[in-house]
Amino acid sequence: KKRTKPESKPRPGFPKSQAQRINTPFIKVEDTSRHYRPIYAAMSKMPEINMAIAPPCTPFCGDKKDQHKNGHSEEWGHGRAKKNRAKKQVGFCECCMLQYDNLVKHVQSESHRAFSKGNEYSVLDRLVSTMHCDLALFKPKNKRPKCSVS
Amino acid sequence: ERSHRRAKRSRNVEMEIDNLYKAVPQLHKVFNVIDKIGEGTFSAVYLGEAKMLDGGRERFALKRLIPTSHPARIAAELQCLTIAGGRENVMGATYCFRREGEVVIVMPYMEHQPIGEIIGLLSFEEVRLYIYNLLKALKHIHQFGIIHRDIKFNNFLYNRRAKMYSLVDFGLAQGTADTQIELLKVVKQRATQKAGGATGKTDTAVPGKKAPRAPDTPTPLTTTGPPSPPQPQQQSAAPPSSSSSSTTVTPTTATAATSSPSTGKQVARPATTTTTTTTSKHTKELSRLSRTPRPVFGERNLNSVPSAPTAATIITTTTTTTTKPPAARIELVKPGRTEDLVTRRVAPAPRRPAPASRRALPARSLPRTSAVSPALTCHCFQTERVCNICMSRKKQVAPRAGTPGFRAPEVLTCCPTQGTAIDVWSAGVILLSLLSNRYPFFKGSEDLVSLTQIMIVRGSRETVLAAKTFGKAVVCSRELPRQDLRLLCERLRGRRPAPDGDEARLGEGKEDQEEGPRPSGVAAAPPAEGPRPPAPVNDHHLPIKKQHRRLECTDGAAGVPAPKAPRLEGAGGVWAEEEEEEEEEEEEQRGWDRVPGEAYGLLDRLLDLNPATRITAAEALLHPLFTDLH
Ligand SMILES: Nc1ncnc2c1ncn2[C@@H]1O[C@H](COP(=O)(O)OP(=O)(O)O)[C@@H](O)[C@H]1O
Ligand SMILES: [Mg+2]
Ligand SMILES: [Mg+2]
Ligand SMILES: [Zn+2]
Ligand SMILES: [Zn+2]
Repeated sequence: KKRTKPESKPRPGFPKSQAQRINTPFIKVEDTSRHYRPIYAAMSKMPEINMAIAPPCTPFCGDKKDQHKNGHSEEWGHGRAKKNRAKKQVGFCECCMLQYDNLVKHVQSESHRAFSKGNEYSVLDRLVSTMHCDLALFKPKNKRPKCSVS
Repeated sequence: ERSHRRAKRSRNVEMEIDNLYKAVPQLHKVFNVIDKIGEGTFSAVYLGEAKMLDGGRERFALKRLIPTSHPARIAAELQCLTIAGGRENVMGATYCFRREGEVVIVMPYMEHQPIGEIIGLLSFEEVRLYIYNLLKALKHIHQFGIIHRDIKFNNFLYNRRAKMYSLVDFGLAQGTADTQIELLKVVKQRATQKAGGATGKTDTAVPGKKAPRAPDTPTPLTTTGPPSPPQPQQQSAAPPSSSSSSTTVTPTTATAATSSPSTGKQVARPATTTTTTTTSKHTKELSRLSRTPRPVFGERNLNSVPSAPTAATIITTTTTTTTKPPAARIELVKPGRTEDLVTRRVAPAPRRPAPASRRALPARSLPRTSAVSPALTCHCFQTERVCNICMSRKKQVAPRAGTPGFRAPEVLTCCPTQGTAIDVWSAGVILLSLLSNRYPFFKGSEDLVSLTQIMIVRGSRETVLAAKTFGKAVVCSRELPRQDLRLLCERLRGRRPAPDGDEARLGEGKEDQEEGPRPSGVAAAPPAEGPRPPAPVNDHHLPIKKQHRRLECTDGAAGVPAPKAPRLEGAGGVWAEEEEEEEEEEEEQRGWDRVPGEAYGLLDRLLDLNPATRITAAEALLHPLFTDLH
């Protein structure tokens, strides 16, 4: 389905641009430098505040999609934890800079293991080494605290 | 209590705890892990008990980070806790354990209640103290040059009985130009053309590349529609299905990550040059640049790179400081990686010098039409049109991490200069939520839908004007009048009758200032979707709360999907008059009948659409609403 329809007459004196009208209601944002691509959203209807929705729910009676998506928000507590967990298998690894399908598998992958064994963590270790630790060993054999980072 | 908790915890939690011990075996020697407290997108948090050197026992929160977090990100989070935390309502860190890529941050445990469970019970005084204590935490971290970026209820722990407050979760924090958190200076955030786009999920809207949508979705919504840009490699693989939902999940780094699959087929780009410079030089350069009419350091690099394949927003590059030996230099960029450019994790423009300069228009807002290549000029600017010329420009990249519904307008509009004011906006959303008894308040998961919701509350003309000051041209197909905050909150709370008919749905057009029952019409307009029998006419003469409840009851009967948030107790049945009256008395006891104008005055200042004039946390603490607390 097309969101926009072509406009018939391109303005003279400018490179032919196939301007398209954004279906209403819409919102469009463009950097005033005009150096960047505009962003816009064509909505099937304008969001609105619905006073008939009882508190404490959001007054924005969103479309069903929104409602559906809302379920993923961690704001809703633990009810969705299971779903989240399943989703969480997919993600992006900041260490390896790649997308993974399965968290557990990725963490065991060669590239990731290489990273985690490397010295990338020295920044963290240095910071931790400056921390004072007053946790005691749970079953102290030698009375000294053993709070090493690695 | 401990054994009780242990008895209650599920098999799943048992397994997770086992798993935690296996991942970081040192924990065995120090902690008795009792239960799981919470789970975010990038961590799981457990309750543990430890023996202290002085012989006492204490409870701790053990935050196990997802092992795919970059060590520089983790270190920055930890440093925020250790340097700024432990006072002024900011969580501190006790210690940190690591084995290989598994990291556990240990913090003092703070018992707290999820806001969703108590929001309807709070008195106005509790709300006032809550917001005061949140602002105190914000003032404190902002003094350190920390932008939290994820201010929301879940990250501000609240113990209602003990009146304790604690700001947690610096996982998305960024530094201001003059931040005192060394690791926020050092870390740069990688942003990519696609990932940093204002919607973060634009890829799902590219024609033919739509992410799977829920089957019950009747609403087409494009964030970037046709015509598609002539950049085939940018429209690589269809994103994993999680991308459509990830925008609603907390931090955007994840959003960006999941919504922009790295393809492996990307055009190889030269390795990113690692910028090495001194802190002082950086700071100087930043402050100098922010005063000159051109884009700020970092952002310029960022946005001048031609559009190209993308990966995700993630920490990458590095700087080093004069105060540290070369060994302290952190190389986060692997040579030879295909990647786009890099932006500083530091937010470029230092936000608050003198009030006068704060009010000055940021450099970016100056029209620079002359700089636009004629070949790229079109007539779509500030119109309802787009064409292949403007749509083929590169996307602008700006920090976007955070949670939908709490993002400031400058974040939603992809403004590359963002400062501590974004946290203040989020605090405003929190206050709005508390005053109106609505949680969440904004629920749009798409940035531009969120922006529209903001415009419905704050006005579209006002938004357009404010956006201009930070260099954004906003066009909205309909004028949305700004709401009176007190009227809005009182109506939403049910203290004031909503206007009748269509006008019950604010944002439909003119605002109805009239109060009290109307002579005719139905009580409140049904939502546009789904059949719903009109409320009985005589409901007009009942207080608005009753109308709400009746409607809610009808909801259930009509089989309209009920909202997912906790309902009022007793909803679904018929309300007895006595019960009603009790409830109202209770409301009055909780002070909701005499909310001072200052509360809405502060709300108005926190939700200032213009970040340059928005009240700061420090200023807000001096607001008349808090006179007795100074
Ligand atoms: N120090 C603490 N004491 C008690 N609970 C905590 C503590 N820190 C975090 N939590 C709980 O764990 C949740 C997730 O922690 P957070 O640091 O926000 O992780 P994430 O980055 O995954 O959101 C919090 O919302 C809170 O409920
Ligand atoms: Mg959190
Ligand atoms: Mg976090
Ligand atoms: Zn990895
Ligand atoms: Zn155009």
